[in-house]
Amino acid sequence: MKATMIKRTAILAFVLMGVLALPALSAGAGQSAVPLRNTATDAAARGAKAWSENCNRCHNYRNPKETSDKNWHVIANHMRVLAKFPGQTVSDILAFLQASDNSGFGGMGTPAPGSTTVPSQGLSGEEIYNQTCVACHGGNGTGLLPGVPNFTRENGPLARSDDELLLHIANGYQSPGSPMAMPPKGGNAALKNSDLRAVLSYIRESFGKPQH
Amino acid sequence: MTGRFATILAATAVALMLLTGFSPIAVAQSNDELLARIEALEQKLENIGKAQQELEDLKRQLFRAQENSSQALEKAESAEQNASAAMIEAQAESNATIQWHLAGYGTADYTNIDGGRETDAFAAAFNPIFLVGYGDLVTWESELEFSTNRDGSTKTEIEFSNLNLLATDWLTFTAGKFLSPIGDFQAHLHPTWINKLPFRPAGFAEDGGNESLTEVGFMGRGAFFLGSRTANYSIFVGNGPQLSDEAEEGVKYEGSGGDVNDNKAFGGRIGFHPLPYLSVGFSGMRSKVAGRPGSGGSVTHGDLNLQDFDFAFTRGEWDIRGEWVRSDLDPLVTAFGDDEAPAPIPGTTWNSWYAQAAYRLSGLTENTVFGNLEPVFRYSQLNAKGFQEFKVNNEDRWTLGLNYWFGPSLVAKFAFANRDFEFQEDQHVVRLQMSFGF
Repeated sequence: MKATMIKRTAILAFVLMGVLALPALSAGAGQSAVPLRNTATDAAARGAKAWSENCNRCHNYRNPKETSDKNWHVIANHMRVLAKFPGQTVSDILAFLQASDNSGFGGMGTPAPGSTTVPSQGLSGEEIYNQTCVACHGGNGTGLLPGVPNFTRENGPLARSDDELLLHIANGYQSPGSPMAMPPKGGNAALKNSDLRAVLSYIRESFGKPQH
Repeated sequence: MTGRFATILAATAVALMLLTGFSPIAVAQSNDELLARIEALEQKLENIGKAQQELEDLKRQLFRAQENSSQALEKAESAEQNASAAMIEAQAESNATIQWHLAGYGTADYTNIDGGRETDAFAAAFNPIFLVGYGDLVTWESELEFSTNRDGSTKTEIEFSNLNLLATDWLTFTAGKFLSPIGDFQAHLHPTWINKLPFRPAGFAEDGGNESLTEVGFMGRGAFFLGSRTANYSIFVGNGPQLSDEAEEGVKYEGSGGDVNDNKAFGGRIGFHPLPYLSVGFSGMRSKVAGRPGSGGSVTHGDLNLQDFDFAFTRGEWDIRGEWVRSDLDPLVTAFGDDEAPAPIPGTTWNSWYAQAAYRLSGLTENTVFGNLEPVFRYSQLNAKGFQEFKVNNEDRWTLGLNYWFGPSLVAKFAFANRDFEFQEDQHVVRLQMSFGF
């Protein structure tokens, strides 16, 4: 009796899922039922956060430069299926990976230049940090991921000159002992030099001592 | 007369010379100037000749430079055309509706065993994973496993092969052979480049354990947002597990292409991420297992119910996780092997669980070498109660390992396992393993 009830419940659940999926499936033959969306201006920033929170639940973080944009697209759909992520989360993570691998060329669904990145006009250093940097460096600057340096250490990264740090931020940098490199501009290619100086100033003010 | 005439003539000549400014001395001086001027003119002419020669040389050089520039321009235009063509080709490839990617992993290891009947041995395995996508509508995923057998033959298996319809942001339909969604280890952690140790936990193995491995059937799965957090789910129907023909192997939780008892298995899992670095999951499966006829005779079916709980804490350098799975098999009438007649066996309960902790040393040091080290400790147990043959694999095991990560998915592992069996000879096992995920 109980087994029969469970079977009926399972069948009902499948039927219900099919009904709820019908509107998306009826989008048209050959068209993507759920196109990965990269039209949000902060998709890459959301993706950095989602990547830092989700992509080490099972395995180590994978370096965005390991493979091409096209391959990341296929892999992202595989992760959506196997690891079970919401479609929007996968779309954002893909935007971050494609923005961070410096391939300069996108796969399916690649956004137009600048459309997935955080607009820099009018954003303070703190705002840029909270959108682009906090996912890996943490709100307190001590680092959330393995190998991410601690800004608050006395002889840590902030002991270096502004010029050296700006170069690291602009071009990407792998800290000694870190399993992978920070992508250029934290994966947000739209940041200008003025933005990088602003975020560095914020980092120094918040976590270290000023240097010139 | 003549003298006077000569004198007058000379005087006249002198007067004329004085009047005209002509004098022999002046003539002589003027000749020198002329000569000097002639020499100067000759020099100038010579210089002009040299300048003309240089001018001709410059003209020739300019001509050659123009020729080279023209050739360089042609090459640049050709290169630009080639680059444009390549870009168009690459864009076309990237925009193609059907995309594919070859992933997978390779494994090589050496095992040293002290105790039991197994011998030390090297082993190797290759697991290619084919991922093919049709836009963002459908993916097909297949994993094969090729491994070396003790007799030198090659074992080939299909780990999974399934079609996935990405219906909505929160729902995917899956059909085919798929990794069982029960628990976490089999679905997500068993690949050798992900598993922190070169052993599966006790009870989470193909023989004698009670972990659900694969299923052939149909599944709906996906994830959705709960406020700022996410939850995920799976619900499936499949052909279900079968009794092994070897009693000590217990129940085979591997998907098969047939349903021996015309009774499908139903199950699923729901998982939560209450915090960014914490995940928990609850799973269950209900099925029936058919008795094996053996040499002939009537058999019965037994209900097989499975429950599972899993958790994972992954923050910073820490990776702490665990899983518990319980399965209950009702009494049934069955035979093991083709020569035996069916006989009743008592109900059996299996409990398997593990807990492990790993820490990446990059949290303690900036040294490149030491930062790639990761010590790991795991305790696991398989405990079956009921039918004596099913209890053969009961085991308490603790494992200590040290990993070196050359890259995010390239690892060398060294581990020692102390295997304390209830009904077999204890074992001490050392394993060195290299694994590369790509």
